[in-house]
Amino acid sequence: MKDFVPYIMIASLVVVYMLAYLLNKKTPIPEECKIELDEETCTACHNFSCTHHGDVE
Amino acid sequence: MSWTLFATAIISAMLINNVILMQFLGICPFLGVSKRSSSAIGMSGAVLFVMVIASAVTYTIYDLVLHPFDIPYISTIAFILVIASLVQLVEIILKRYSKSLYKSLGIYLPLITTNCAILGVSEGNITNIWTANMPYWNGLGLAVATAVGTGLGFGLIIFAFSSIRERLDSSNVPKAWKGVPISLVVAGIMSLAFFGLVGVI
Repeated sequence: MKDFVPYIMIASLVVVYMLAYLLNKKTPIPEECKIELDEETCTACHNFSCTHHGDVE
Repeated sequence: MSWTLFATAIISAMLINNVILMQFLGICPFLGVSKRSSSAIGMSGAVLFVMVIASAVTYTIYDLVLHPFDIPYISTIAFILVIASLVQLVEIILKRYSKSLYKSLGIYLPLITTNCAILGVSEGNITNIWTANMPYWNGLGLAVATAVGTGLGFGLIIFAFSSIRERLDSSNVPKAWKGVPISLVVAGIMSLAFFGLVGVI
């Protein structure tokens, strides 16, 4: 039984992450923050699919 | 445990063992989110917030679960999952209960999941602070103090660097040195300056 502890531990953490992710996706963004987020032009990464991504120099 | 120990841990983590300039962790946000001071402050706040919570949670998991069950070798993957989950949970809480804080930190929170400084502090707490004989609350206090110091050190450096970059934008820099090259030179000089603090404590 002790051999399964690491598997159970990792599986439970993955489940916790998935639940947290789904819960976060279901939580609506506050109305007053939406406009600000849309207008934000972040260039921290080069991920062009990111909705916050701005123009790269 | 005395308060001076916690103060020493904070100052040491903030200035002497600075996470960016001495340990070279968190370089991606250091270079990526330091173009404007406002974004640097937002990122620093978000990193400090998540770093303190992540340190407390990962120390607790290591002390109460990983060590008693003799599975410390899964600590890295467990900490990554804990940090990723924490970022999601912090985002939910901010969305629901602190809209103003979500407004200022919102876009920086997802970036923190991939910030190696958070994982580095969590792993460092286990390597440098945790011992089997240390009482849980003392270790937790030191881990949180280290996280506070590291977060403040991260903020100090990224803000100073962003201020320098803003000034560099308006200065007459040769074309070949414009942008990233001159920024890396500045980062190197800042690192040398902080290297002078080694051995103070």
